[in-house]
Amino acid sequence: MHRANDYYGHSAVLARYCGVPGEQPPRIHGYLQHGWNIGDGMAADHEYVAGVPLFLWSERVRRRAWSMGRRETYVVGAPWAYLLRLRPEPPAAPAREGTIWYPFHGWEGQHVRGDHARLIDRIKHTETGPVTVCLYWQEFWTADVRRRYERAGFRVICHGYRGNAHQAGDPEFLDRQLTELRQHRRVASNRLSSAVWYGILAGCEPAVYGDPMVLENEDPTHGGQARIRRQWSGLHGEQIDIAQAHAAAVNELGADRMAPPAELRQLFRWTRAAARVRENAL
Amino acid sequence: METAGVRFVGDEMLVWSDLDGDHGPGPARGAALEPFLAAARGRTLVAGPHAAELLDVLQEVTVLVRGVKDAELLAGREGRTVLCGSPATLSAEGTFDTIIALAGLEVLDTAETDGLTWAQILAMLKNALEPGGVLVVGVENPLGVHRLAAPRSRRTDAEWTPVPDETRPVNPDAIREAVGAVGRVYSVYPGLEAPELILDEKDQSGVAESGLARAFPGTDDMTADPAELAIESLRCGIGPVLAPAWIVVAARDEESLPDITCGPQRAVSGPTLERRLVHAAARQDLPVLRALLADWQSGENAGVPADQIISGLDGVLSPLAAPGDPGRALRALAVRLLRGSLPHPWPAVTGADDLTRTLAGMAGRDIDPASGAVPAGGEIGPAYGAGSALGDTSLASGAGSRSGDLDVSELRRLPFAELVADRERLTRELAEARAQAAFFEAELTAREADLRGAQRMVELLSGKGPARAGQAFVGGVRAARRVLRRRG
Repeated sequence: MHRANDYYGHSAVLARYCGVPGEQPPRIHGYLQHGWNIGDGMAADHEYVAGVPLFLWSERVRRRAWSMGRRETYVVGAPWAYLLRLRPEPPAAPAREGTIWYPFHGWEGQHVRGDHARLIDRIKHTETGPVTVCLYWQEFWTADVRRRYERAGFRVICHGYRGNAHQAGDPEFLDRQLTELRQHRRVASNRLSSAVWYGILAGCEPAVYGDPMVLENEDPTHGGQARIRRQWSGLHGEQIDIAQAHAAAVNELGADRMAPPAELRQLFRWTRAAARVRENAL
Repeated sequence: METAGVRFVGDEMLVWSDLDGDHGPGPARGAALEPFLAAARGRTLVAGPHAAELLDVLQEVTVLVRGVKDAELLAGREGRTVLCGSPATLSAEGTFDTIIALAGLEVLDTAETDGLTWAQILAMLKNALEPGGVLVVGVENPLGVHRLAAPRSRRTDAEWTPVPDETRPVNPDAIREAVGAVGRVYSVYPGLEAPELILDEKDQSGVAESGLARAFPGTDDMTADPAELAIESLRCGIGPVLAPAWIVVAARDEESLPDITCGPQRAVSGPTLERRLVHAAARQDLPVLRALLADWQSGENAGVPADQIISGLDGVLSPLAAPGDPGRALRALAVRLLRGSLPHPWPAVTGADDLTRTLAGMAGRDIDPASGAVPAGGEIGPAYGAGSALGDTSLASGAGSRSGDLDVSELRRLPFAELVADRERLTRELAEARAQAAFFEAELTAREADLRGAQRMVELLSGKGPARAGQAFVGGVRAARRVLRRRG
């Protein structure tokens, strides 16, 4: 129903999991949660149509969404969990090394205010192995920001375009992210965010430290950073209990609530008859 | 008055029959009652209208009926004494070792008496009972699920006094107190006249629930589904209190009580699989739902309806019925889940076929709910289109309408409470459909605007300036080539 379903190639990952062929993933009949958040799972700036299902990542988000008046919700888990199912880590995978660091970013309409230099010092002070810094594409193409991290001796990468209302996301986005995460022993960020959860589920030791930075016009409805730090206090710090982190990641990404392909095809209306209608239209 | 084989004991009704069922609910009947007659010992009286087939169980019996027609019909059989009239003079017939009145005590009174109360009739029967004898009496519950589910029906000819007098006991404890001895009370469904299921007072098993699901004939003109109420009452531990009727078997002491075996005789404990599924659905517990569905549908019980399977605490499934079509079993569950007494987690469900496919999907299968067929030649698995049977016909019957609900085998008139819920659902769905139509129209308008823009650009590029120059150039080259060829 909304282009946000295609962000980060989410719909493409689910289409692969469901065995749906074709270059373009079919339209999902519903709104798919596209990022971890502490609200009702849905982006505040999107328009939602009554009666159209909201496909959420976790049971906690479903309960919260219901309490906020959202109906027609259904927990399917995060596409990330499905990608991990599609690409299990080979037993003879090369040894992981160093840290992949995700400096907090806003999206295109927001601007982060914070001191990159101080963050770089903190990273250098904390991390003992090689550091890869993954920037949001907007920062990656901002030469000033990118060079700061490169000058610090970090490897700087970008997973790709997220996508927007007019353009689907990069379908390889999550694949690239998984490949990178699996090369690193640690995942870190200055905010507990999707990337950290993804890293934990992909087998990285997590860390959340450094200036969380301030997002211009950040929506405080659900308690913001203060609330996240309170609720997941055990996941903040330079060294974190891995078992606790993994259990939390399984919950937050709904890795314990994944649907079989046949169920997803039915829920998303990815049936053969629907596919024929699409083929005829092309 | 003389009729062969019939002794008139007073107050008989001349133009009356209970057995023909034209004047009231008819006689006590049905195989479920047989154990109560079979338990008779010694000299036996069967008082009130009982179907002839039930009386045939007894070799030697005295029968008391109030209508002359019934007396004549039952008379003339070896070993059978037929009395006709009210029980007022019963003591003159001597005492009995067993007295059975399964159709209740009210039907022993006749229109000719001054009006006997329930307690008076009971006293008359007890007077005719040997001190060590056994009394078996049916009693209707004024607050049974049948009353909660339906308004009182039109008065029949038999209801010249429509409401029972205040001496009639109204709960199992009051019945035990009334019979004044050791009494075992059985719960009777759906009613006293033609029980389908008779449960021991302590039976709260899943097997009993499973029997209840099929014990009521229908929901015509009802306010709620009585089977649902009966099952809920059993779950809440008040099954006997809300049973439509009771049968009390009373004797002087425990030793004298006959051992009557009734109700479902299965030594499996645990709830029905349907109960587990409905509960998990209401709790939105998708992992449990998927596990239950996958376990059920991957085994040999896939074709047994979920309400006919006992799900043991160890997870072992015990079928109570022979397996049929798995698709139909899943569809029956879908229909049950959509009935609305408890919520379910699935968003935007369009009908029973639609939900059947989702349930199959949760079990990891693609299925055609119309036939239950697994796609022909197709391996069931994650491959897209394995559900080739999800073709146009099955989709057309399910998606986008509730016509899929109108399968003949499940055509069921909704009780009032479900009609109200259904109306609310339809109202909501209509509002949602309108909102979606408005959304699609806005999207369409935006796409049309984009398309117009693109078309204008194409026209611009193909009709003017550089495009024209390009066309002129290509035309010139072709003309020159033609001229050169002719010369060559």
